[in-house]
Amino acid sequence: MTDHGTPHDPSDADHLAARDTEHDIRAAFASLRSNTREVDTMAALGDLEGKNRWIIPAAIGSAVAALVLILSLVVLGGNDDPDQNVATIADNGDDADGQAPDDDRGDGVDVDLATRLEGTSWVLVEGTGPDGPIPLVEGWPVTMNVADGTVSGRAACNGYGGDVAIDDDGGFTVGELYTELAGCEPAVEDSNSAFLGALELVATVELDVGGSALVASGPDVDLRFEPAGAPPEAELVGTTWVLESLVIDDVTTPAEGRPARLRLDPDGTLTGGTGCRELSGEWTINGAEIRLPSFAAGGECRPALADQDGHVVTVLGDGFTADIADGRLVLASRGGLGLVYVAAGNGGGDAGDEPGPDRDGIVAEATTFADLACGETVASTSTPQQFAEGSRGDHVRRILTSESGSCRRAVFVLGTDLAGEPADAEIAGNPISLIEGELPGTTMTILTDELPDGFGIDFEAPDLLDTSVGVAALTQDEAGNLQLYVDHGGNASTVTLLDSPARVVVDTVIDPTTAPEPITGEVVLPRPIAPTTAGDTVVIGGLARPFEATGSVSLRRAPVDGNEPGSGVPVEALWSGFAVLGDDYEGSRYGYSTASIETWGEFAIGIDGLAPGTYEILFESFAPEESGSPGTYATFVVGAAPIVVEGEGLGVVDPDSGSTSRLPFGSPAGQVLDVLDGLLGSGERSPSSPECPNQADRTVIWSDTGLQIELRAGALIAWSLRPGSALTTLAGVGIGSTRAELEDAYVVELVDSTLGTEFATGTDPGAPDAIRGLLSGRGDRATITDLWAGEICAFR
Amino acid sequence: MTDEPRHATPPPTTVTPTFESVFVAEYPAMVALAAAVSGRPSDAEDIAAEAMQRLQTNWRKVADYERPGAWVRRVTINLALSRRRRVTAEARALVRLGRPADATLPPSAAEHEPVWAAVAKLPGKQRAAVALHYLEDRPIDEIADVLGCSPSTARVHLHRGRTALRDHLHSMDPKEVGR
Repeated sequence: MTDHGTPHDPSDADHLAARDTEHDIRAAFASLRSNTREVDTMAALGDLEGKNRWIIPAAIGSAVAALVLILSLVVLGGNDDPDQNVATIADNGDDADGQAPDDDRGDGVDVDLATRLEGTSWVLVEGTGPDGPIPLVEGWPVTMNVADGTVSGRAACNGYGGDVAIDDDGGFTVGELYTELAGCEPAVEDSNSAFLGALELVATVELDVGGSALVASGPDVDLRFEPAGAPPEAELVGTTWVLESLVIDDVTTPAEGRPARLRLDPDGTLTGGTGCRELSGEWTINGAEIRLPSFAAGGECRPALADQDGHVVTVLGDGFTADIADGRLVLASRGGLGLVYVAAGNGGGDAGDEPGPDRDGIVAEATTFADLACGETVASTSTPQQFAEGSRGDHVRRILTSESGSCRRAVFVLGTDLAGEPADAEIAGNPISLIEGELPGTTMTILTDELPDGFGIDFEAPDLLDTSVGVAALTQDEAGNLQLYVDHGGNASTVTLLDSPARVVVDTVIDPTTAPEPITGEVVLPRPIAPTTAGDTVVIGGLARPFEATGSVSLRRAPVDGNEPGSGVPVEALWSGFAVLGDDYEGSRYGYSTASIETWGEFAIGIDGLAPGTYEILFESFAPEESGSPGTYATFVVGAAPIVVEGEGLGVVDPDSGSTSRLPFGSPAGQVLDVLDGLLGSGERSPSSPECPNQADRTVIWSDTGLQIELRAGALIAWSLRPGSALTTLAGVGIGSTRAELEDAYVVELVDSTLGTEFATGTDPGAPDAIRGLLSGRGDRATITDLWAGEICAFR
Repeated sequence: MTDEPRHATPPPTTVTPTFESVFVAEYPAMVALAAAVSGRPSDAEDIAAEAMQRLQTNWRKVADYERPGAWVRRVTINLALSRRRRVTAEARALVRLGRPADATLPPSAAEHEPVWAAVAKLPGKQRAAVALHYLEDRPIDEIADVLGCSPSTARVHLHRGRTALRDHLHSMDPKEVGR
């Protein structure tokens, strides 16, 4: 297809619209900037520590949707606002007044000049502008095409265009020029601006006899062009080309990845690839160049192919000249960038319709989910010889299948057995390249009997912006196999298995981008939740999937035997959380019975401040979409704190030896507080009431544990347990114990007082070492509601 | 002859920014950036605060960076992009918790809605590049630093983002734009 017109020739209305849209965009951002200046920064700073940030934001990844790259030229002009950053070359307002065509222009000027110039393309070979010689930079040609009353081309760095009036006397008047906005190296930009500055001053042109050169002149301007070759359209179009090498300043490097094709069809469409992404778009010929007014690239690339991908996109997107020689298509673009293709079937790899193997042996074209019909199974017929020498995937085969009735899952196998049985894959120290783009989450099952000691994983995703991402979690499934979960967020990534060989089966590739229905997420808690004691942090570690999971987690008392999960009483928890490889959020603790968490692969949640008891934690709706997932739950036990209450004071139990060290009444306050704060966290200090009979001067309360002590003159004089406390005496008597349990452990005297049914242990109710308290009644099943010893503050 | 005492050259004064100073300087800008990239002004302060919390957590490391601002911008952009994806689930969680969303940031004026609708259609990195360009007038080198890519790649993101933005706006009914 040939289009000698300028596809980017804007009308005045277009100019106006471009200016208006730029103005609108800037106005919107300026408004946003202005609004956000009003935010209360100091309040936000003050809130930072205490703000309720109960979300665990470890999930970072890139959008999984295909990245569509629109490469239309920016065509702007007519903007007088310097702030609008619109590349506009001033109107040649002087027109040609005073610049009358040179009467001595010679015989070269033809009365049919406009006709002779129509459809011609030129390359500047030398020139002078008002500021002196125009610098020409190798690899950054200056071109000019004349067609349909317009002049256009490449001014070293940027494409340009504008109207031109050519009269019979050789007058050549360029109207307002517009240009692209891409920036270049300074030398190239100098060439760019020098040429455009000269072009707008051109007043006349002369065409050499035979059309071998075009000389454009004006005041202080002399430009000499030579014809530019036209693209070999006949050979180029309709042929499938396969990328052989990349060119940078005459240095070629072989192409990598899967065969990168390029095909320009007569209908003006373009298809192809970069070695990792697929391309589609439209092409047109503009003078000597082929331009792609628009094209799209879908998918993602792993890091190893990112440079090649960028190179191909840059060459094609910037426009290129084409030359075919010796069966090779050489595309040359600006800056010395080029691409060399060979026709399909000429050793360029599998370029037919059938999917071919990746050079790395893992991914071929048919292994995208878009290529799979529901229930379809695609099996590779690759043979070892098809893999390039030295490739990493000599022993890799693929079997890809979609789940019956769904296209959401696929399985591929690394191994030599095409029947699907894994075989020993020699992958020691070699990267396994994950499928790119469409597959944000991958789980590999690693058979443990093949794993040597010291097995490890290394995960890298350098394309990701945030260094905290790149979670690779290693867990164990029910059969004892290790599972490696990798989330590369839709970006290219590489997983390296260290110190292998190992037998690796890759399965459960979840592709949410093509999921016809929401994916049911799940939380795997690979290990029982370790029992803890009151005062310690309960740590709950697990693995959430699919790749980015958001849901709620709630805490309840464990249900009574026989009742449904989740039927227990909600318990307020001090939540904290941290991702395994992410940032630590231990500094943020929030009191909710339910928290919303977002996690990415493996996670750990911390809960503080739990009283002794049995609890149930429930993960619900743990999926990227509402899925009705029944959730995951687990129970755990928080044991009593290693503190006992005694008639003589307090005791601290060594959990290993079981021995008890004592803090009797009279112990120094500093010693007592050091021990208790260390075990229970910092207690809340407050002065005692001056009316208290015990004349205590300070009260310290550990609310989570339900322990209160009284201090007087720097010494411990009493303790008491608050309702709900799980602390007990050495004999196991505490709040909630029955009278029968109390009397089994101690000799007890009961007294009805103004406080209720009061009791004291021992035969002497007045003894200083008696444990005292209140019962809810006198029956055997009456329970202890209050417990204390020492000189407490009680008003009778 | 007596030697004049030589005065030792005083050591250069180095000023190390404190976390608080960076917070005060950058927080409003992060709110704006978060609003532009996430497309959700109501979430912007939350995102900015989250980014600042990460900055605080990593301050000992980031304080040594030449440009802590680039680090926190990168985190803000990531959080904003992530927020776009999780917003549905989070909205449900907010309802469950009975916690109102922070919404102190005024909503966008109606006349700017078409622009934000067009911005929302851009791919993430283009959106980020455009926001850094229009909001902060960042040069290409700094945009590249924030996005973690080469300047040429950043230039491509910005160029394509601006082009697509204009294309989106051009495709709208003229009455919708700038009105």
